[in-house]
Amino acid sequence: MSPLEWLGLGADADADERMVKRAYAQRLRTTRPEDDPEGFQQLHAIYQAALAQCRRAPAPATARSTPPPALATPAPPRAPADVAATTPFDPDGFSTEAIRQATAGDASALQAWLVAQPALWSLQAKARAGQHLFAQLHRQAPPLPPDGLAVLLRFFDMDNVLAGHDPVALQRLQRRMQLAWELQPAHHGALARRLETNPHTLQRWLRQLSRPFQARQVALVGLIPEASADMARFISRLTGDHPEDLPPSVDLRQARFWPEAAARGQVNRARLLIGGTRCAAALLLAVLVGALLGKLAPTPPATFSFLVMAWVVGMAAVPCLIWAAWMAWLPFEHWHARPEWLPARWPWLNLLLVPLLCAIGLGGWLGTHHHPAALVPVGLALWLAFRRLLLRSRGGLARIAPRLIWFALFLAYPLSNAFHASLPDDLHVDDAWVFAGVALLLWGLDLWRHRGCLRISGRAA
Amino acid sequence: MIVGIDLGTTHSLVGCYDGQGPRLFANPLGSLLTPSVVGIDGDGHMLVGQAARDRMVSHPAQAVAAFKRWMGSARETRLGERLFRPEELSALVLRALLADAEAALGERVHEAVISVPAYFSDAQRKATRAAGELAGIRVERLINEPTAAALAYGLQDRPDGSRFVVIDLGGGTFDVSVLEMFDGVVEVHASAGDNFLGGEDFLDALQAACLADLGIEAAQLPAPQRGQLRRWLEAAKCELSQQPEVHVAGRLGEQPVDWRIDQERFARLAEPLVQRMRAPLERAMRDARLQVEQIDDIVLVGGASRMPVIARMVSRMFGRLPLRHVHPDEAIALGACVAAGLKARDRRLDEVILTDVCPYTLGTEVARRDERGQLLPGFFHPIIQRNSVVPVSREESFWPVQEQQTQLSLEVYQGESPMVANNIKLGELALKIDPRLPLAKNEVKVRFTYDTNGVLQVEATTCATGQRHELVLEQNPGVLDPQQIRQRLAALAALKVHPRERQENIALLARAERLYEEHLPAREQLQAWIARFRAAVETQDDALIRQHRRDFERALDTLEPA
Repeated sequence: MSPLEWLGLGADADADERMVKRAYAQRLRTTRPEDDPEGFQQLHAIYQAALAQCRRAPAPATARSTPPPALATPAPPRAPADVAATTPFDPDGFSTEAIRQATAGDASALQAWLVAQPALWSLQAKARAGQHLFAQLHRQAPPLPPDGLAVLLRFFDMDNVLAGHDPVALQRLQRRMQLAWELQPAHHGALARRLETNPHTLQRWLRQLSRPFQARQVALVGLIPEASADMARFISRLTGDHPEDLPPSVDLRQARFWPEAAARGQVNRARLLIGGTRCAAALLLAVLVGALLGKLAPTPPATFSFLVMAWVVGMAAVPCLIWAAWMAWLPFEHWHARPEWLPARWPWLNLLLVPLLCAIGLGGWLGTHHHPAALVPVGLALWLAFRRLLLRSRGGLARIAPRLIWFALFLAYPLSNAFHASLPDDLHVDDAWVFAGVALLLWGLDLWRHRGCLRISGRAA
Repeated sequence: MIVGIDLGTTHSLVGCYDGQGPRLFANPLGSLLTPSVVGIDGDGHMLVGQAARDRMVSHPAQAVAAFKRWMGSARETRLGERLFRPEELSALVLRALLADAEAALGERVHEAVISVPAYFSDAQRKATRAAGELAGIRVERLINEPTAAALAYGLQDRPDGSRFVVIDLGGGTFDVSVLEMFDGVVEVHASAGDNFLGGEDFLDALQAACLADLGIEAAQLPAPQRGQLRRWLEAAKCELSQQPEVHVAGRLGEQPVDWRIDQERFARLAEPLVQRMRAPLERAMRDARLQVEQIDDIVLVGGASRMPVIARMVSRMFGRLPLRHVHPDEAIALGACVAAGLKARDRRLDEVILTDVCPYTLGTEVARRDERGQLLPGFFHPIIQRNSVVPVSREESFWPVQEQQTQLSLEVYQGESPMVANNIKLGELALKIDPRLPLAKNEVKVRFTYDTNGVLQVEATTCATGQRHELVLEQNPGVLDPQQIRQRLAALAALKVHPRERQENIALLARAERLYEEHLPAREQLQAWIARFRAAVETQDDALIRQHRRDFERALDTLEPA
């Protein structure tokens, strides 16, 4: 049933606004808002729909003319008394001038200029001006302090939840304009105060950021201890963790590189570049020191020089190797301990890796008559199961687990001894079985926690 | 009998709807306007109205005004030995008004319709209801002030099907409503306003300019003299509405005052305040989806709307002159009387149906993901949009943002900012959800229902379990609960109040005491008059008192031409 029919006006579009209102008023007498809230809401919704319908349809010539609706027709003619009508309003020129005023940086002067614009007393002109201005701001992101933007938002009433602006986009616009403003050389002092750093350090960091990105240069900077962490912290505080919003005067690759280089627990090109350079530098240094020591030794037997060399280089190489191994291990662990709601490659393997490793280890253990090498897969499975449980659970467990792990390591030996002693004499349980059992227990616990949302079942569905 | 009450920032009025239509009641001094001022006299009796207002000049610490601005907050004011909340001060004013109504009607009044600014918040509305309860009446309905003004205005002979804007600038609040009337339906399209913009602010601007010209620091000026200056400036402000230039002359303590101000300068001083009125007007027009040309009339009500700057601002925006209501001070009270008649289902109002809107947006806090997928908390998600026709009920669905979330917290806010931090929190509800379910299945349906009395009801249903929760939004911080209201009602009943028939004498004495402060040369004379009148009052001989009162009043009038 169409809204017009419901109001008893017939299905065809010859009902005008006046008739709809009369019919609505008639029905309202029996459906008062205080007495019948539900009925009234329904009636009002139908009334609105009917109004919209007869506004869409062209009014018949016989119908009493009603003023054109606000949103259905583009720009109805203005009343002669409308101030804006006397001088044609140019939104482009206005926006450009408004931005020029705003970028001068004085919020109260901007406010005074805005209220002194006679054209903006017209509601239509003001609405158009606001739309135009903000479109231009989004396009250009000129340097503008936050209080200037606040004045513009307030004046054009854009800062309200029904204004139709995406608040996330608005926040981003504010960030971009504020950064552009703060990075102007004249405002570095204020920026240093905001970040609570001394101006010289700030200048050094900014110089580094505005340099075009070159792998060699950043690798060299990365050699300085803590340099990447400092840069990352600076970028994070400067941009509120949004380096992409920095103005074009800053090299974006630099701005992205440093936070990546300082990201712990991740493997990425920035980390590999910095870490690789550091390893290479350490090894080079070690070779040089070794050679120097070998030369300087008073009576050098040939073997002695070689020993010193091996010792010094080894000292440098061991941490490098550990780092390399850690870098190689991390992607594997990330894959295995990936949250269940994120897709992973080889989902079946991901799910069943722990029991698989346990099976291999125990098979080897039995097949090789308790060869210790067979314990490696079981130990691996135990570690993987533990990390999986830990990384994939939120809240309580994640908080206590780091302490738990040290506690468990400390107690492992006495506990296993006590366990063996408590068993009856004729029953002997191998350590391999204990490890595998614990690993499967942890793995099962994780599985139980995720029983409702397994990746596998999601794929099947 | 239901009475209609306009509880204003500076003045209050009471009336009812009877055989001849809306009718207002006079107070014992014969005036329809009772100043919204509460004071306490030397022997601990409460004073309300003109007497308290005069006492503000003679004893500034013993009277308080403009407490409507603190409604909805827990701010307390000391009067004598007691601390008063704004609800209690309003209740004292309401009691005085009810006494006037009862004297005129000859029967007890139990129910009232009270007008509130359209843009009053939930807490402020609750505080107004509480004030009614503290005054011993049931508040049948709160009616928005511009709507009330439209009822008073529109029920006179208006052509059918007209749209108009009511602009209400009172002593402390500014309100705009866009309305339409057809076939007896009064339909409010939109309301907007500013709860902290009114005639008092214009007076503040005038006072600041005057003190700056005289070279006096506001903080250095003793309170009685400040009150005195304010009275002069208040008079000057009213005169400026008619005359191009006003001369303020007198003595502030030792310092002679000789200050001139013309309309042009006043317009400049008022400019920032006038600019603040633009935003609500524009918002109301935008929300009503109407263009300036579609408005048939612009109506100005509220005492402060007499200022020419207001009419000028309106004509700049709407391109035509506004209509002034015949009695801008009384329009709202008359409308409240009509609303009371409507509530009482008066036969003559059977054809009138009023539909109003919810003046502010109501919604919840949500988190959003930005383009990088980062979770950003603190966004306001509207459920009932401002200027929806009430009663209104809307339902929306929400989902948890993170996997394995065990609880969904539903925070209810009122306001217009896209960020909840700038809005007013009304309450919250924690909903248990099943962390094992995938996000899409953990739907929570939230229903907001806002009724004609401005009461919001929130209902949440978790779809997985079908469990329903209801949020009672009674306990806002800063609002009295029923228990506290009962306690304070008893405490208020214990306060000493002068009987109604003695009010005239009290007011006259208060006026004489104020003049004593203001007129240094006539002090001795005044002292003698006051003593003689007190002696006459002591005799308790009505005829003698009436005689003395007339003489005394005439004598005071020679000092202060009315």
